[in-house]
Amino acid sequence: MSDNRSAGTEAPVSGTALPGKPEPGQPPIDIDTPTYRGDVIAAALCLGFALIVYFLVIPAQVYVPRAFVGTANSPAFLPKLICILLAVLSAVYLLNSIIAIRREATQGHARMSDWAIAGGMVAICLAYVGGILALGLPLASAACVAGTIYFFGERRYVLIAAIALILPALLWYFFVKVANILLPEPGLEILGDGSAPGIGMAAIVSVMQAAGQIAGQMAGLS
Amino acid sequence: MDHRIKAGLLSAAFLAATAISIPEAGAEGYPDKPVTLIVPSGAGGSTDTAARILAINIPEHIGQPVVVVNKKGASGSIGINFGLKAKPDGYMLMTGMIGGHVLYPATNLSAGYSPEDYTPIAMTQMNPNVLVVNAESPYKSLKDLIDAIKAKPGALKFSHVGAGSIHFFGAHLMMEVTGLDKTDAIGIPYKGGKNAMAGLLRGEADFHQTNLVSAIDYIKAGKVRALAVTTKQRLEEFPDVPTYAELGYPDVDLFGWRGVIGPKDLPADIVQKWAKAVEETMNRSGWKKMVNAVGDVPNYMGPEEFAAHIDKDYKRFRKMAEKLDILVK
Amino acid sequence: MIDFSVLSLSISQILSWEVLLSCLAGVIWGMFVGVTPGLTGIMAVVIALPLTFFMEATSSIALLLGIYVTAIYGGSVTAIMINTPGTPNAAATLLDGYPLARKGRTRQALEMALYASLTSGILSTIVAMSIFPVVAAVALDFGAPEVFAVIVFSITIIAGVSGDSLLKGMIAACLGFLVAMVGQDPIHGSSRFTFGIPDFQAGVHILTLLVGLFTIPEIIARAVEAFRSEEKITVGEMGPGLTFREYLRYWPTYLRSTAGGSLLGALPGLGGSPAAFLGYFMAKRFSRKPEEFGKGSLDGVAGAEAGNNAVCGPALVPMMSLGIPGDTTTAVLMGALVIHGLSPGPLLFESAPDFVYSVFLLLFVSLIFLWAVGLGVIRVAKWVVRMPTKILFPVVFILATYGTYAVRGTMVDVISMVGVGVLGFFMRTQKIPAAPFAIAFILGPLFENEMRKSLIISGGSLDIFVHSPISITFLILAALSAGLTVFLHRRLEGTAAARMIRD
Repeated sequence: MSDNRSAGTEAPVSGTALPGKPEPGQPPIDIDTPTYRGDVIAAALCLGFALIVYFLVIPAQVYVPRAFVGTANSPAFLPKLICILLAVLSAVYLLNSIIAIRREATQGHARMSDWAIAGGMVAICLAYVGGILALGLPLASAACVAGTIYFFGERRYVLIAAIALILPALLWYFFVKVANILLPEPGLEILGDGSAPGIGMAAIVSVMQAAGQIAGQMAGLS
Repeated sequence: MDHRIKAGLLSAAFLAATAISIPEAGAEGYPDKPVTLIVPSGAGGSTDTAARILAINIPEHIGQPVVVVNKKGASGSIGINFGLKAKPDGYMLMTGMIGGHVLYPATNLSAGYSPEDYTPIAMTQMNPNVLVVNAESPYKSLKDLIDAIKAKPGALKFSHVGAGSIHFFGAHLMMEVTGLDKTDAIGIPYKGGKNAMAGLLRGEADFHQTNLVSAIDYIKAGKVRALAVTTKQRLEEFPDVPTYAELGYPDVDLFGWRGVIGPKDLPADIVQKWAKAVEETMNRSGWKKMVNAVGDVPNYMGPEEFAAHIDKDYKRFRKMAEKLDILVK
Repeated sequence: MIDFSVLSLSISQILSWEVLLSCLAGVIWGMFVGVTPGLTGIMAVVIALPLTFFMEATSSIALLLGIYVTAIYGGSVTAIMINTPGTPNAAATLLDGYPLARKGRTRQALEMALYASLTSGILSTIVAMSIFPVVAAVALDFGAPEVFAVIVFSITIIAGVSGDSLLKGMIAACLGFLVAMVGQDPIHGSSRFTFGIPDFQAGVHILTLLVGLFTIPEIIARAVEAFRSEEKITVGEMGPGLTFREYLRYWPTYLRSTAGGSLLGALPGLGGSPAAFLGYFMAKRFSRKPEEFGKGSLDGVAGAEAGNNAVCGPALVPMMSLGIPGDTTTAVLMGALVIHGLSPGPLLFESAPDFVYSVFLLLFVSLIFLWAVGLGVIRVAKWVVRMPTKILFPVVFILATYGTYAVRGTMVDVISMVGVGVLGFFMRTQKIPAAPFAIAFILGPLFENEMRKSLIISGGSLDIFVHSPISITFLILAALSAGLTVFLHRRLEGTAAARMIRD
């Protein structure tokens, strides 16, 4: 972790430009060093997120009782306010980053392999969740801890196997026997009681409903 | 010690522990293993404490240990939804409470359950409600309060712990039976009964209908004045406080309760066995004192009576929720 | 003020082997759970709770108080060593504690955290004990608009932990606020952003969020590091210990954090983490070297840890005088009181003043035990520090997952943890700071709740926010703090840029 930050973190508020263009063919930068390119992407994502939440998610997912419609006490009032604030801030962030990009030369890229490793770790996280849902917590944890240690570069297989065996066993004993906590049963029941669709479906359905409502209103207005 | 030996010992211990806990199926001779009692609230709360008192005292009568497991969140509905998915074999039951088992599904269409989805086994205790005002306020009787509300509709406020709570329904029921409109007094929601009481003491709210446990010390300390109680008879502690029935409003008879509830289709013999064990437990010496410590009054109801009570409450609160526009889709 | 005849009675009550041993057991158990990532202080009290049913009142309270005090400190150990806050209280500690550990100054950071905790724990308990009625009155004097003003003031903390870019900090705060809105609407009770999933009704849990924001991104970053390097990588070095001179240097920080933490502690329902962030913020604001914060400043660790421990004494006051617990741990404590027939409320102080004093005395006893046990833990910590990251972090990942699941027993929390973790990693790559996200998540719901409650009380009129001197004071403080922050940020950035130009 280096504290040397490449140009790119300051600009948004102060607008100060740093002198001297980076040399071409500069060495790759750390994965957690911000770049203006990254700033542009992040700002655009935040802006898009704010707009989607404001126009699509809030109408579908926040129920406003009749008595509260249009007041500061409506359950949707603060979410909307925060979305507007987020949109404005992201727009400023986006503009600042675009200006900075035009003024500066390229800042180098993080190694693609770094991104691949980070992606691999994210994949392990997702696989772990899937594993818990499919196999239950102890088995998935045994597989996950072994896989992660291997992924981190450990090659002493006896050690890996020992950890994969002992850790979930100890945890099982502590949580189930000492702390009286029921470990999750394999299955997808947590995502709804059967009548409710899963996370992805619920989100898609509600967003589509909202889009339909908005389209309907606009059609009605014109 | 060699690491591998250590690992071997630990895994052996692990296997031994699993072997012991493998359950043996069998409908006769129930229960032949510990029963899990889901508490749909956090550890340390009064529902949890009540459940633990039961769990400590009942094993002699049911024949097996009872293990308390907390699953809190979303007015108890998370724990209840969990408990309802249990196999109806009597090894996973839950603590029943008016909030999660009746009020939440009565006000929330997406709760995922209604009283039809569970089997009431026995009520163990009840908590009378009492209408209180700040001791420094000019309201000496229920009539004073009603007159004041009528004089300035929309000016007076009451504190409660959220739309759909018993505090909320209690105040609205009082207003309804005394001929007031639902908008004549405004409700302020607080987080928990003690905070709602603090709101009354602070003068943010003018009246507050709450369970006796939240109010009792404040009444004794002379900080709040009780105007009416929801019980059939006057309370032992406060013989001067009239009941709603005496004042001419017998319909304000709601009270909080806790009990034992099982999943749907629980076999009748298991229900009876538990109901009997609960009744025996409640006859133990010292039971009243323990229940009083949580602020409740022992009040046994068997399966049928309990189910009828739940049904009555559920229906009337659903009706009120629709009227007050607090029914959540 | 303190009644000494009652006090001596209380002293005689707690000076028994049974009580003292229970307290020590609580401290040791609390420490074990506190320093194991994934095991939370709440779990420690819940496991101990059934035991207390069979114990005598003073002993059972001694056991729980021991856990209560220790869990607040214990959470900071994992925060410093592996960037995992063991309790929400430790979220501010890791901002500087972990960078210190990465720089090979683990021991200094751990000792700073311990001594700052002890100092403010003792000071705040003296405050709570000697002016119990005043502290009790705070909870009653602060109605919705007053608490709202305090929260508005606390929100200005966001600027203090935004790192170099205030803009990025504010964006992170907006995101945190939105995530906090998942679940039941605080006033109406209808659901928001739950997408039809029942378990989302209860919202995203604070520990889920903190593990997602801090631990998961750290694990991903360590994976990248482990790949690149062939040699054995460890978290850091123990390094030198804290000198007495260094301890003395931060006394102004302890005092400020104690004052801020005591006030927030006396307000029911806020808990320790806002106090920790407030302490951290004040330490930075008054520091001569604010640029060191976030990169490994002992002052930051001192401010955060003194802040969260300052809550433990005063938080017991609204718990005992009004029966309003400050957090989950105090709620369990309250349950134990009830079981033993000591019903918290306006009558407790009159009916059992000796018991109230015993509680505070036991806090002191717990702090003394904490000192001893804490020093022991720091000796053991070197084993963790020397552990290769390729073993340590995968194990931490599993422990964190169990812990996240166990808090509420729902898989939705584990899924949220991974989701927030991935978001946290991308935020980290672009240096969008995680701390403002966490603060907004903690304060956002309080802000909304108090604001809307005030508006109901006032019937929609905004006047209510400027009705009382207390709220006016805090709103002015908030405005000053915000103004000062913008000013300092501009100056800081100016000098930083100037320095770079000169070089």
